[in-house]
Amino acid sequence: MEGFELFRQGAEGRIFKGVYLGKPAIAKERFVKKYRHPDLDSHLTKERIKSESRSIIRCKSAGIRTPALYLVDFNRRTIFMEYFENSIVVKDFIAQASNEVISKLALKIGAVLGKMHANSIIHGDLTTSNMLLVNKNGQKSYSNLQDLELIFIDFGLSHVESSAEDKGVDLYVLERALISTHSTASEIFDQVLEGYKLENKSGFKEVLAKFKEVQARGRKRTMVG
Amino acid sequence: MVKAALDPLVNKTLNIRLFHSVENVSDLRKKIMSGQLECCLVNPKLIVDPFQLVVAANKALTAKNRTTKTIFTEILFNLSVSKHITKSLQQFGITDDCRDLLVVTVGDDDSRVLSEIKGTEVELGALEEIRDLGAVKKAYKIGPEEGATSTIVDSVVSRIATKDFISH
Repeated sequence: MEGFELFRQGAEGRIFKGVYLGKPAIAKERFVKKYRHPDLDSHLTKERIKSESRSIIRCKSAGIRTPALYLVDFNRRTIFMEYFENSIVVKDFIAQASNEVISKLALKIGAVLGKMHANSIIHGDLTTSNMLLVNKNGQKSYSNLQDLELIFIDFGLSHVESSAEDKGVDLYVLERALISTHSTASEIFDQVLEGYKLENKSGFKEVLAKFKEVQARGRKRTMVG
Repeated sequence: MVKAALDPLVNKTLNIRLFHSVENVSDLRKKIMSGQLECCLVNPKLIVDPFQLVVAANKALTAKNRTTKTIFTEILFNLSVSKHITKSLQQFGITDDCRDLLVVTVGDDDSRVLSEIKGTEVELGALEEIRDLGAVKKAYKIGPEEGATSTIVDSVVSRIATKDFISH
């Protein structure tokens, strides 16, 4: 892609970084899957691009900051969206922050997540790598949590669903991700739940019950009997 | 004026100019409708930032199939979140009694269009005084919660980018 350089590579696609329409941007391109029938492949890709964009817009309406979309191009299987220049991945932030700051951040993460679920948006891939902190004043400084805005990215696996089951699984995915990346995972997760409770009061009890259930059995439902 | 580079695939520039006290609006409209004048006249009241026009025009020029007849009506159509063509064109287009207007052209040279406009060109920064943020929020259905986190420009361009498959 002209003017873009490869930034990240995943199983489903590639992310390029560059300048688009004069703004720092990323281009998220989904691969052609050669093993699928071409018609099915383009149909599935189109649907996934749509659902990703839909979740991003839905989050915006709910007051959750997500990247701005510049162009959705089904022919090129690409979404062009905002790139946050002055940002740090939450994963890296946690690695260098004090426990007190981490605890505050976790509360914030939980609150945004509660809001997301209250609006029936399931992220599907909650990890600390898919959350960014952006300096509101446009500086490259991440020392003061109050100046930082939490942004969720990568809605590639997201969907709209109001069931407590899916929300429980979403929380479970986050818990597993925390355990695998951070040594203080259980403290962080407890704070996340606290924050979650604040923003999703009505649904919290049911979601928590589902979460415990998922925790006991794993992410996939048992298909026995 | 603002010159903006569009998608590398399109390889064209977009020119955006803002005019004050234009006298021959009805004449301009006639010429555009008969195809003599290749430009798009936009009502500046609903334009928050020139970038809004860039995203709408870029979408129009990269699209494989257009919904409307010309690239210029397509830009107007894209600006609106409505799927109703007439309604979109009326909402973002101009009427004979408009005196301020935005002129959008595609290509390196917009001098032919410019020579037709009887008005004073001003800096695009003047948009800030003309635009009606309340009307913009209403047109794009941006609620108070959203306004608190994302900037209006971000919300607006994201809606334009997804108008064909999300109903806002």
